[in-house]
Amino acid sequence: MPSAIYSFIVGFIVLNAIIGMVTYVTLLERKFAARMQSRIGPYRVGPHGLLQPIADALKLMMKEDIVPRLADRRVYNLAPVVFLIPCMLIFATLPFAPGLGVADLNIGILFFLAVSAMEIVGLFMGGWGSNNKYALLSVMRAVNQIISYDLPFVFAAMVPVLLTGSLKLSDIAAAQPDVLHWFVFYPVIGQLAFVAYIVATLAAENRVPFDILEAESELVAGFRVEYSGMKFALIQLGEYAHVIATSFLGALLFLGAWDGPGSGSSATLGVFYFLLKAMFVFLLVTWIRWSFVRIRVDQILAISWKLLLPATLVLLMATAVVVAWNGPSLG
Amino acid sequence: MGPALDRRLGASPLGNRQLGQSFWPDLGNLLSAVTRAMWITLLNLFRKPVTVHYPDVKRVYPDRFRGVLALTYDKETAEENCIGCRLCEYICPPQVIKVEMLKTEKRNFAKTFTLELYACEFCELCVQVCPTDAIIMMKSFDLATGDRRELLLDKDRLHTIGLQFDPSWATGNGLRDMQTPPKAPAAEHAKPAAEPAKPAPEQVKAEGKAAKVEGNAE
Repeated sequence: MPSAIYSFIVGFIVLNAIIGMVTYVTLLERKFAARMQSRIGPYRVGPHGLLQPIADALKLMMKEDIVPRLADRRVYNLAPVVFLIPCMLIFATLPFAPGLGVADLNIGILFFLAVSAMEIVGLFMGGWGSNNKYALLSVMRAVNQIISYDLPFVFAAMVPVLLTGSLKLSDIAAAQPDVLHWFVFYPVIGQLAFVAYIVATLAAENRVPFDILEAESELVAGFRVEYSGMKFALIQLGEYAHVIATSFLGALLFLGAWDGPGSGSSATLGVFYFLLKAMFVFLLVTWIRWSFVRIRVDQILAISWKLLLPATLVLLMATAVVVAWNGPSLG
Repeated sequence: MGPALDRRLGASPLGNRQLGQSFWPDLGNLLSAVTRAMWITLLNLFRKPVTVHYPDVKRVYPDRFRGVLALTYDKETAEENCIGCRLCEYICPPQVIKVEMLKTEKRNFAKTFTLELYACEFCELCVQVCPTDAIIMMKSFDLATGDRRELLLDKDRLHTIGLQFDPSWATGNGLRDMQTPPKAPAAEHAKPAAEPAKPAPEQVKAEGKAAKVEGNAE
């Protein structure tokens, strides 16, 4: 089979799996959040609310698609797509099991980090094209925040890269062959890097407590205030896809990817473990989201530039020293 | 300002220390606050939800719940309690009750009794004035209907509602009995009420002096 067709088929499967996952991850988050607030969450549509995501999707499809009269039509209509493409593209480099993935690039993590930072272009287009003061304020904040937090995010993600000595995601996964070698259990450095990664992830995904760009009390719904119907759905899809992708990356970098009991013999089991770990990271992020209030803009910047950036830099240098001392790979 | 008030004004969500003093205490405060917040949500995660599945499961109504209005029967003779006196019609602030009296030899009845529930404000005044406990409130708030006309309650509907739900605790006679002052000590009540009027001016003067003295001292 020609490799182009193979890539196409695998890409098609992964893309659809992501879209299916995104719809159900919203239900997972809503149920999880509800339990944290002593509620039940969606319950009426289907048994225990299992059909709720489908009902939501149908509702969004049937909604009227409104374009504001004074909006920049082309930019406004293009923005959701430009926003969605990088969010979907970052799944391309993720290996889901040994040898199972769309494209296992030798600079996989670099590609991931670069493309995931590109979503800001779509975001800014949406906010600018809406011709709405709230949307514009929101994307200004978003750009501000992404510039501040992409550096710590990259530095935190670089720690496992240094420990492995490779930018290839499958190599990083292979360097964590059992529980004791998961990078999150690497003495001191691993835990600090994982915490820094989670905090930077929260900020890069614009989730609470770093959600100043869609602060409901100030900016209505942020940059998507003018969007409705399918375009709104595309933006939601992109956001959740990004969250899931960073959860997968976190699971791969720190939690040993597809490693688990019996995963050596069965690739299916490996995929299952990987999914489980990614969901663990996702729930961790959700847990943080529902525990805190939104913090101020100056506090967000202070946390990034005064705490997270120096800390991750020092961490990276410490890792370099450790690696120089011990040799490049743990395996 | 006392130390208690000081503490209350200075209390921050991160504990007693304010942010911006120095790096390490700030970081410690931040971490302890993060841990506490996440611990609370984690505890909640493993608690049972407090939600009641409303239409399927109903919460027990409180004893003094006052809901939809209804007419009652006498339990022994199976006669209507309403004597058609129209007191409720006269007192009703939004004027939603209309009663016509039917005069008979022994006692009177309500010939018609309509209550426009869609305009009722549930003030309970009709219950309070009713001399025969005929109109009472029930323990129910399920008043939603698809048709506004269903909320125009006639005598039959009101009687049906009276049989359908549990009656509330309050009845006209019960409420009036509660509010009647006890008769024997009624005379004593009048005296102490008049006394505290006299010393009041003196107190004001004394306070005024004290304030002046303080003002001079400053």
